[in-house]
Amino acid sequence: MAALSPESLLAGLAAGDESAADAFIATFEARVYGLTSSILRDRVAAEEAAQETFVRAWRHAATFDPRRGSVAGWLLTIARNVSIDMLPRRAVPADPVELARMLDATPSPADGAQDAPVSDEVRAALEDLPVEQRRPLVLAVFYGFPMREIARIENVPVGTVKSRVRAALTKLRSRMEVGDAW
Amino acid sequence: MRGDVSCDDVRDLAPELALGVADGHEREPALRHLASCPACSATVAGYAATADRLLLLAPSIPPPAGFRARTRSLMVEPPARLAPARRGPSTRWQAPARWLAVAAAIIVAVAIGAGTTARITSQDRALGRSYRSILSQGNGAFFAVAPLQGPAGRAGTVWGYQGSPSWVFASFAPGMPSGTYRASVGTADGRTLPLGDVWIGASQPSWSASLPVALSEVRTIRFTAPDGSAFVASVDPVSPWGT
Repeated sequence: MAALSPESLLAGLAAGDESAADAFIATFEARVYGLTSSILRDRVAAEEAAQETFVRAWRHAATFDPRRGSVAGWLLTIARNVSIDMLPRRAVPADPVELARMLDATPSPADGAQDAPVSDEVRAALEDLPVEQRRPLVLAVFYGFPMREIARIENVPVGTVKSRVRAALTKLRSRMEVGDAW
Repeated sequence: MRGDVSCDDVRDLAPELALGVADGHEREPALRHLASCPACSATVAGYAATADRLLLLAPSIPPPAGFRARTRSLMVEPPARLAPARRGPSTRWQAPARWLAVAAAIIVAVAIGAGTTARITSQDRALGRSYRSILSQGNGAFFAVAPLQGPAGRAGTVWGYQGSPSWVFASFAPGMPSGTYRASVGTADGRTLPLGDVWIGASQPSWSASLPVALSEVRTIRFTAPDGSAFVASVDPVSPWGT
């Protein structure tokens, strides 16, 4: 089972194969829980969000389109959306140091080694962004903050936040050559 | 130009659409436009793919022991089982949806007052999750509520909270006779545990106490009047989360 690709495991999950389901969860549980923990910063809520992520993956496995991205990316997007929905309030989630620490963590080789080079590439591209672009981007991507809320946090006009996020995404897109790996 | 907005409008909004953070009033016409404009749709998809790749930076953290088994148990059971179990007809204390909705509304109203911003596009889910999240901050599991019945009928309302600690709160109707009552809790295994003496009157229309047992074990909350008459809330709490 360990030799099966994530796509194969997902297919097995969708088909009700118990061993595939176990292997699928084992493959991604640390990544999913790591993301939900980073966003929610509450152990109980993070586990609940991680469970909900896998349940949604199980229910919607048939909708996964490998042409649009990796299984890990698809699953983490679900985890991100579940976590944002569970955020109890729109408080500032973390100071810049904490955000940087979250993004500095390195994925373990056991869960998604296929994504490790991608992570390195993304990390390098993100680190190259100016701080004033990186922070609003992270607040929007990981915490789902609307632009006006980021503007309030950053104490800058909404238009400035929009410009910074757009510039950040454009630079990242250029650096990562979106479409090749996903 | 397609629909209510132009390509320039949508491209200006593209990062927010891709990140899922566009305001509802802007998102709806933009999504209509995207449905019929491949060029704008491709622009948004490109931004979204970039943003999604950032999620790969999330750290790996091993979940708590037993996570896999708990998750698998959710997968193999039909979704309907997650709903509260149906109980047979009962005159005892119930936690029907309408009361849970009331409790949730109260909690969410408080939360909104404290700065919570519900997501416009998922208010119902946010309502439930706010309820659940706020409960979890006190290690709570659920609320329940029951009418307090006296010799002459409804005499108030008793609220129960399963948490750490579990507690009950009672509000008394204005017509409830004044006096010092003995409060007690009756448990599922037949015990009667004292909750202390309670002065009830016009100046004291409510009362609360922590429970010496879990709310799930409570079957009655009783207030015994000085003349011996009983005012009782009968309890059969059901977890709104199916736990």
